[in-house]
Amino acid sequence: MTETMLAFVALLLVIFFSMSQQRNIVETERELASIELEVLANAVGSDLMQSIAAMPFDAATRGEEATVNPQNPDLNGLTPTAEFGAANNCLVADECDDLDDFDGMGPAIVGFEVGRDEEDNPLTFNFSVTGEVTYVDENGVPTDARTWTKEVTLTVDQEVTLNETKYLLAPVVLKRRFSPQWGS
Amino acid sequence: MIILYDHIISLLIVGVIVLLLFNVQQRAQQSSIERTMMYNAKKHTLDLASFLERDLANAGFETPPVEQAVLEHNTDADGITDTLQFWGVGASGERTRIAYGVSVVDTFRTTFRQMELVLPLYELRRYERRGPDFVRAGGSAPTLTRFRVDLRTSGDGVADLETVQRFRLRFANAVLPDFNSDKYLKGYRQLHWGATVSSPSLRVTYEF
Repeated sequence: MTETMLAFVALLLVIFFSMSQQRNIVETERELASIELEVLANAVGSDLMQSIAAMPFDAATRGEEATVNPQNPDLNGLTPTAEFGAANNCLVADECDDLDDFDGMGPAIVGFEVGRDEEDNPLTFNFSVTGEVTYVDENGVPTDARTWTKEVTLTVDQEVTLNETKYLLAPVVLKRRFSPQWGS
Repeated sequence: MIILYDHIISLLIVGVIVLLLFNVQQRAQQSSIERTMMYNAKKHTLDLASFLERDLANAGFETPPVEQAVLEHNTDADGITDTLQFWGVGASGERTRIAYGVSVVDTFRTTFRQMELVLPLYELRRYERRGPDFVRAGGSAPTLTRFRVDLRTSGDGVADLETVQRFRLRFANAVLPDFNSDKYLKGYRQLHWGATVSSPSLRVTYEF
């Protein structure tokens, strides 16, 4: 009887150990898939950030009709925080004309093609991107007051339909600060 | 006889359990190695992306408008950009000619659509012109499966050497164990990167 009990306990221990290891393996597989998606999400965010970097700092500093320029560096001429984004309700980079238009952006769906599937259709991962823009003070703290620095935050998450699995464990957040490129 | 029978059964059970444990342990170890490899590949991919984007964003640095900023560009029949040469910023921070060369350095075999394929692995070599010669100055690990740089206009149209204002960069980095050439891999992971890089020096008009 004792031998049977010992054998049973040993068997249980082996089963628990095996299950625990299997769970770790499955978790690692998910983590690896998440890293693949994380790099893609990073690329999507970085690409959009490149487009944003090419935008004028503010509507008031845009082009030849700029009202705020090196000759007239008037902070009060910049767009107030309350008027960020909503003015033209831009959802994708092509519809925005300056940095603060990206505030409240999205979620915009951006696809990234990674190759072709077995039927030669493009294999694309979709990501939803949301944007937020704030002024930041000289200490890097977000503020409602107008300053010469704007911080753009992009949050990129995997876009999944009902039947798809979400592999990206957490959204990728990219931040970058911009100032008017007036030079010296 | 019964005692002998009991012993044989016990030995069989112990054998099965030991094999099971060994198998699980081996799989866990492999999983841990895969994780380490993936983190290394991620770091390498992000480092390479950051370095390429910075390099391309500096294309045309201090190049007068009458002079061509992008000097050479070629994409082969397999869609691999094997040559790219432009005026950029060298390690010294001065205007330098930068050249990229991409070539096959290894292969591995895999199965795709029931067909066995031999896939090439590429390495990107970056050179800077110092004096009369081009000197090796950076590059990628020999694990690239895709590398393509397309020349684009500011409106994202196709551009040539004279009209280029942006670079559309795409590359994929395979996550592979150390292996001998031509090894068969049932499956492999890839980390993809893509971005469109604008260079302020290639813009015709400046905005602030």
